[in-house]
This record gives sequence, C-alpha cells and structure tokens, in this order.
Amino acid sequence: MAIVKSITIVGGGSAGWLTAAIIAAAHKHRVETGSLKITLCESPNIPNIGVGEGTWPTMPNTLQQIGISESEFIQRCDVSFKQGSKFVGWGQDDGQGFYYNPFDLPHGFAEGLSVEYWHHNKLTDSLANVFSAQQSICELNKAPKLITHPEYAHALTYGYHLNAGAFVELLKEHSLNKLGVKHILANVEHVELATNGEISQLQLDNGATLSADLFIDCTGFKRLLIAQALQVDFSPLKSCLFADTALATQVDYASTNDPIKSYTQSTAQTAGWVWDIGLPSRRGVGHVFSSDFQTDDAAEQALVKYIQNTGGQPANCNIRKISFTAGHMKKFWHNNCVAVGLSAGFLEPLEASALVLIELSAAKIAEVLPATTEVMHIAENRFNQTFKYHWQTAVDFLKLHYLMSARTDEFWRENRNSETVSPHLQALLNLWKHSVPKMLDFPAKNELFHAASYQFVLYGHNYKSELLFELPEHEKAYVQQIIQHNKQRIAQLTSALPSNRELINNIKKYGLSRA
Amino acid sequence: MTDKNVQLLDKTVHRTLTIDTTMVDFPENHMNMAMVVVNELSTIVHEYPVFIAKNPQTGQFMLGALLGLKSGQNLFIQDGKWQATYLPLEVLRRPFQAMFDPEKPQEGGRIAIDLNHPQVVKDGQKVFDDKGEATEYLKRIQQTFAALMAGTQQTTEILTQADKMGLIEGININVDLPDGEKAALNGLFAFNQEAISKLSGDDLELAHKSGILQVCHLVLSSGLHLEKLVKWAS
Repeated sequence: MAIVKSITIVGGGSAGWLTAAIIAAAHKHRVETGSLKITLCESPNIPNIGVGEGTWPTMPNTLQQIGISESEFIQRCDVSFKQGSKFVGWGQDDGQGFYYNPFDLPHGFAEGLSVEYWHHNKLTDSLANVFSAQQSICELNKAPKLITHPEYAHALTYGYHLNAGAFVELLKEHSLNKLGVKHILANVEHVELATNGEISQLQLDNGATLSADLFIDCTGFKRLLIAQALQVDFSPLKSCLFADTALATQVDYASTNDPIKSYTQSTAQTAGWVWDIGLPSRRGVGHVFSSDFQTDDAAEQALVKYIQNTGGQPANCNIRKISFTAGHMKKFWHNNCVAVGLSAGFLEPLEASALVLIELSAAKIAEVLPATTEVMHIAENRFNQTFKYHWQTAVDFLKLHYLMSARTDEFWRENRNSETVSPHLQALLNLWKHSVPKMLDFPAKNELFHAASYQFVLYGHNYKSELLFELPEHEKAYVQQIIQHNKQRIAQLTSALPSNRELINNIKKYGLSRA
Repeated sequence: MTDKNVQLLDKTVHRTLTIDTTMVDFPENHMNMAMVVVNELSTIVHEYPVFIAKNPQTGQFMLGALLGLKSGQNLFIQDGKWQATYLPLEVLRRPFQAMFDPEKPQEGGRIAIDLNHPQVVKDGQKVFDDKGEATEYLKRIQQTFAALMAGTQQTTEILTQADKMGLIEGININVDLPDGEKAALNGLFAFNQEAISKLSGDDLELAHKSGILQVCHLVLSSGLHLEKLVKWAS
C-alpha cells in the first residue's frame, strides 16, 4: 500500500496558484499535520499569460474557502464587480440590439415556467428585464451590494473583473504564508517516466530532482507533462469554434470618475467579437476573431474603431497578439498526472470559462484525491468523465451564441452550417422547437451552464419556441406574482445600490466587514 | 419643516445667537438610535441598551444607544423631557454640527449651526459674550466635539479589530410587546460571546490591550436596559 502524501504542481500562473490554494485549503488538516505535502515548482523566467480577467459567481465562494479576505482581494487586485454578460449586436448585421445573461438565477426558470409565460404572452421586454433586476442595475452601472454588506454577501449575485497578474501574486503569498504550500523556483529540464508510464520524477535545472505521488500540469500551452512527457493527444475544436486569434490591449478611462461597467460586454464583429472588461484603473479590451475569415490588419482596425467609439485613445494602446487553437486534451488526468488551466485546454473567453474551469478542476482533484496510489485510476476515471462533459457542454454553449445569430458575413453564415454543430446541441435545439430549456435537460451535478443561461441566450436572440400547450391559470397567476415582485425589487435596488465605482472606492477606503 | 440654513459659527456674525438648551423634542431627535463613542461608554451603559451597528455611509461598525423599538421612535423623550441623567454626546452637541470649511478643508471639521433649528431662540443660552469670546456653554460644546472626534476614531478602530478577529456577529432582536404587538430590530450586531470566551494566547492579549474586552463587557452589561424600553413602549 502506497499512501498518496505529496502533490507537485508545475507552473505558477493563475492555474498553478489557484489550484495549490484550493487543494491546500480543502486538505488543511492533512497539510498542517504533515500527511500531505503540496509543492509548487515554477520557472523564475517564464512570464504568466495572465489569461482570464473575468470570473464566474463561483469565485467569491472559492476565495472564501481559501480564506482570503474580500477587502484585501479588492484592494490589491484592481477588482470590480461583474454581474453577468451583455451581448451587443449579435443578432443582426446592423450591430444594434443587445441581450443580457445575468448571474442571478430568477424564480421559475428551472421549471421553464416563467419563460413559457413570457412566450405565450408575447412580452416585448427582455427576459432579463421581466424576471431579473440585474439588467436594469447593470445598465445603470450600479454595484451588486452595499458598503454595509459583509464580505462575500450580496444583494445581487456577482463575480469579479480583476487584474490577473496581481491576483496571482495574492494567491501565491496566501498559499505560502497561510496554507503551507512549498515553493521551488526552477525550470524543469527533464520529466522522467517509470516503466508503468507514470511520472517518476522531475529533473530541475538547479540540479535537484522532484518527485510526487500526483503531478499537476499547470504549464499553460506548453503542456510539459500531459502532452510533451505523457503524449496525451489534443482534440482540436476549430471545426466548431472558428476563432483562433486574439488581439488584446488595455484602455485608459478618460477620467478617474468614469463609470465602471458591472458586466462584461461582448460586441459582435465581422469575424468574431470584442470583449470589454471594466477594472477600476483601466479597461481590458480585445478582439477575438478567426484568421480564416479576417486578416490581422482588418481585425486590428476593427479593434481600433471599437476603442475610438467607446471613448478610448487607441494611440496609447499597446496591442498584443495571442494565437490559439480551441480544444482540449483527450484525457485531462493520465496515470499520476492531471492537467489544469491552459494545459487542459482553451476556449475563446466568450463565457469567461478559463478561471471557473480551474476552480472546478482543483476542487474536483481535492474531492477525488485517492488515499493510496493503488486506486489512483478510479480518481482518474471520475475526473475525466466529469471534465469531458464540462468541456463538451462549454463548447456547445459557446456555439449556441453563434448559431442564434442572423448576421450574414461569411464567418457567421459558416457558423450556422449544421456540420459544425455537435449532435448533442442539435438534439437540444430540436427539443426546444416546441418546449423551453428546463433543469431536466441538464442532468449533471455542478452543470457549468444551467437552463436559465440557455434561456437568456436563446430568447435574447428572439428564438421562437412554438409552445403547444397553454399554462394552467394557477401557474399564470404565480408567474404574474413573480413579475410584480421583480418590478418592486428593481425599484428598491435602483434607489438603494451605489454605483460600481462608488462602492469600489469606499471598499478601498473603509474595507468590508467580516460580520 | 423649514429648510436648513447651516453656517460656520462666527463670533461676529453670530454674536447675539442664543440657544434653548433644555429643548429635546424636535425632529432630529426622533430617532431610535444615537451614536455612542467608547470614551462615554462607561456612563452611557448605566441608562441605555448599547448595540453595535453599521455606519450606512462607510459600512464600518459603530456603537449605538438604542432609543426606541422602531424607526423614528425615541422613547427617552417623554413630555418634552429626556428621561435620563446622561445624554449621548451625539445628542448633546445639538443644534451644532461639524462641517468642513469649503475653502479650507485641510483644517478639519469646524463647528457650524443651523440657524433655522428649533433650538435657536431669542432669549436662550448665549454662545458668545459681549466681547465676542466663547461662553462656558460654547466651550462645553467645543469639548463635546473634540471628544466625539477622538472617540469616533477610537471606536471604529476597536470594532474593526474585533471584526477582523471574528468577534462580532449579526443579531436579530424580536420583542414581544405586552399589547400583543411585535417589534423586530434589524441591522444590529453584538459581540460573539462564544468566540470571546475562546480567545487565548496572543489573540487574548491583543483583545485586552486594544480595548475590545473592556468595550465588550460594558456593552454586555447594558443589555438589561432593553426591558425598560419595552416597558415604556407599552
């Protein structure tokens, strides 16, 4: 019997440190009593890509579990509150119109009831306005909480926009000082494999060797362990998701009092879309596009135009090009190695899935961590099963945004070619011709995207589900009550909530309380 | 209600100003909580139930003397008189207030007066004497403001430290009034007795030295005055 008592994480970006912190916090007792040793080995000279400046509403809970103070996080990582995504111009060529996918899960959405009512009554106001307060609050650039709310408590569900570099520094400091993670600064020169195909040890450029019962590959696109050493194959997804290039930059605000958007804005372009993420000190803006349909020059021009149209100074922007292949590893966990972060795979950041997949992966590793190496393969199977499903559903959900569009550029037309759509998504769309997405359509525990998300995207795009049956009177009355209650909630929150900027400034000045 | 007319106090402009210092029944005092600072706490706890609350502008913790069981209710005012021997500094300062000189904000808060305040009367307590010097009354007001300013900062520091150590918790107070009515008090906090009793080592020393323990005991001892309020309310 060989007890699993050491984990080595290779790579010190967002994936490495977030994974280290999550596992160390989940197994705090074992780390403190010395029965589990967690070591993070990172190169002293490889810069972080800093992917992911937008989180999901899972992040507040993750940070709380790790034991980081929200006030400190906000003060140190240039954080603002994010309450969802706003998709602008995705429907038509004229670029007009928008819809929200808010973080709040409205009443009556799991059963599909609210949406059915909305359909039957041909309500003209958006779903996100009729059933959620968040569209109104976001349009007013207001915050999701009050200064009197304790850390991590809220009036409306939120995630964050953050500076990825500063976030890594905070996670690193916290992991080393509070969670007992060990740190080695060295480059891995060689990965030694045992005859059974497991990683036996790493040879470092400082002459030392590093062994562990479980290795976690957080080496980014290099995939040093999972692909280079263990030869696990990569599944490209370019035939479904066409984007392969990002032009990323940072845009200054015109004044330090400019509103901070409390949502990530995604604006459709000829062959892709532009992200716009508001941090307190600057905006992060970038153009994701497909090089098969647009040249770098044309894409850069589109980005420059977007920056100009939104009050920025493109002349001051340093534009960085990132090429990528959408896709993921065929196996994420192989023998005694598991890949987390970019090394596991990459999807365009349309739904900010990078950080949440790291959170989920690390939490899952902590959960299935086997007691002995003999049963490692069970953990491997469970992990792979879960994450194969997560990645598939994430791909389908991204594809849905493109499928629903009526834009006519070649990129968009080709996106609607049925050969580029997975059978799973095709089946769901067939199902929703005469019904609405319901909780039962998404059976997994910890689904990435819930029925509500599908509803917001489908019906944000005016997708017509032709419903065949009327709702009974008592259900109609129930939904009418929900709508009435939401109106009151919007009015109350509109008058009570401060602006995103004001709240951030006050938190920097006074902090949030624990109680 | 008339509009306010707030001016920085000036010995020339306000030479003849006089104040009715006995009047307490006016709109500003119709509140169910008065801010309290640590330097007056040992006196206040003899007559008022004291709780922890949050400053709505900053979210920071503060101490408050509970005056009533619902918003706007001040049970200490009965027949135009304040039913206590000691008044919170926050009440005593009235009708004066602290204000920043818009032209010299760096000089800190200065004393200002609302000339339309009901306490401003024709034949009350003089603020300046005939030579334009501060009267004993104004000197007491000045001391009140000095104590409030020093005390507010100290109170915030102690409570912030207590919160950081996890010693403060939100509480719900539901009061059954004898006439069958129920009153619920929201947004109040108290020291977490269990967490306090578990303090040991460095944390215990820190809690003692920073004044948390002393404040905690005083606040705890004031709880019994809640019964007085319930009695008055019925």
